[in-house]
Amino acid sequence: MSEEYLWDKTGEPDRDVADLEMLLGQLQFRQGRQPVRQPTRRANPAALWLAAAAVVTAGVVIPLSQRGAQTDWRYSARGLEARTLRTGQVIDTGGVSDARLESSFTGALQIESRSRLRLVASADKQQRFRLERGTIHAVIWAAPGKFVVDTPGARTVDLGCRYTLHMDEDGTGFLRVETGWVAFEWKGTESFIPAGAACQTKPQRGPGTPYFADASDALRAALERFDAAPGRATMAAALPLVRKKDAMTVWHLMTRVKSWERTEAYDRLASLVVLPAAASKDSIVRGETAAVDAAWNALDLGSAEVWRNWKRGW
Amino acid sequence: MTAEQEQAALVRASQQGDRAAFGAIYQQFSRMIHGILLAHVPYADAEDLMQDVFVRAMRQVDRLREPAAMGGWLASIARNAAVDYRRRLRPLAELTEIGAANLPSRHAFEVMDILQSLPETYREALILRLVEGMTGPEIAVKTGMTHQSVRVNLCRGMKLLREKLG
Repeated sequence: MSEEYLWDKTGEPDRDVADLEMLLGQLQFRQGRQPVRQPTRRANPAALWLAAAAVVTAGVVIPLSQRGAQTDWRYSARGLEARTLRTGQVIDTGGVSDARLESSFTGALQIESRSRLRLVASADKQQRFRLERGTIHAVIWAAPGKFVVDTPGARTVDLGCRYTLHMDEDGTGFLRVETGWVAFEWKGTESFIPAGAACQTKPQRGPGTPYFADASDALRAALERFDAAPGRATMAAALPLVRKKDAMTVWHLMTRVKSWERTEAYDRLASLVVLPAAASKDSIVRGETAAVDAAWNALDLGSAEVWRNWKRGW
Repeated sequence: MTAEQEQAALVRASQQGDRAAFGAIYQQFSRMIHGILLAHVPYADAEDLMQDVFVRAMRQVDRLREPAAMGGWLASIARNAAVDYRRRLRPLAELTEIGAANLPSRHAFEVMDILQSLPETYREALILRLVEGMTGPEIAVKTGMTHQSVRVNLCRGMKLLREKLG
C-alpha cells in the first residue's frame, strides 16, 4: 500500500483508501448543505449566525482601522453575549431581528433585521448615529437634543420621545413619532414632528411636510406634491384639505414658501388656532424667527425654545 | 503575511469582538471540528453540535492566550462537547427526518460505524482524512499535533480498519 497517498494524497493512490474517500466523502461537512436531520427545536440564533458567517457577516462589523473609543452603548441579541460598542462601529443586523442597543444614560434602540447603523460619536453632549438602511425603534430618556440620528435625507434630533425611523436603500426615510416630538433638519429646512405624526425625507431634498397619521389620503397626496415642488399653487391645493388638528401641517407649509406667499397659509392657520399678538401676519410674512416660534407655540405641541436652545448648543 | 501570522491576526481580532474575523476562523476549522465530532457522535447530530462548539468558542475566545493554539483549543472544545452530548443524549422527538433522497448511502453509515469503533486516537485522524478529505499535514496544522503523531495514527488506524472491514 502507498503510505504517501494516505499521508498527503501524493504518490500512487491506494485503492482501499481511494474507495473509502469516495464512500465516506458523502458524510463530509459542506457549507450550506441540507442537513440529514433537521432539528425542530428553536435554533440558537448565535448558531444561525455562525452558519451564516461563512457567507455573509451579520452582527457587529468592526472595521479594524476604525476602532474607536469605548462607549456606554451595549449591543445584545438573543443568544449573543451583550457587548460594548465603540465609536465608529457598525451594526449590520442581517437576519437577526431582535438586536438591541441600550445606554443607561441615553435610551434604548430596537434594531430590525436588514438594518445598518453606525455609532458616529458618543460624548456627554451628543450621541450621534447614522442609519444607512433599515429600521430602528428608539426610546430616549436623555435630555432633549442629545440623541441624534443622521440619515441621507435629514438629521433626526430627539426632543424627548419614542419614535420609529426607517431608511430605504435609496435614501428615502420615514419617521413616525409615538410620544414626545422629534426634529428633522437638513440644510436649514426643519420639520417638527409631534406624537402621532409622521414625516418622509428624501435625499438631496430633506424632510418633507409632517402630517398626523390619521390625515386623509388626499392631504397626504397634496403634501407629497408640495414637497416635490414647494410653492403657492401646491400649497393652495393642500390648505382646503386640513382639519383643525392639522394646524401643525399648515405651520410647516407656511414656513416653506416665499415670504409673499405666506399670507394664505397664515389666514388658514389663524382660522384653526388662536395666534398670539407676537405672531402677527406682518411679522410672519417678514420671516421673523420670534413670530414663527410664537405661532408654533400656539399649537401647544411643545416649546420652540427647546429646539432653538439645542441648535445654539450644537 | 504567513498563514500563522494570518491566523494570529484573526484570533486577536476575534478576541476584540470582530465577528467577521471569527467567521473566517469558522470557515477554516469547520471541517476539522465536524470530523472530530464524527469520531464521537452520530452523523445526524455532528453538524448541530458543531454549531454549539463554535458558539462556545466565540464566547470564550478571549481566554485563548496563544493564537497558534487555536486549532488544538477548538478540538478540545469539540471533544468536551461530544462528552457532554453523550451525557445528555438528546431525545429523538426533537428531530424530524427529511427525504431519504438526501441521505448518504447506507453503506457509508455502516463503514462509519466501524470507524467509530476504532480507538479514539486513530479514528479522529482517519475521519479527518477519509471523511473530511484533509491531508496529514493539514490535520497536523489544524489540530496542533505533530506530523509524526498524525502519520502514525493514520497508518495504524488504516491497518485496523482494513482488518475490521475484512
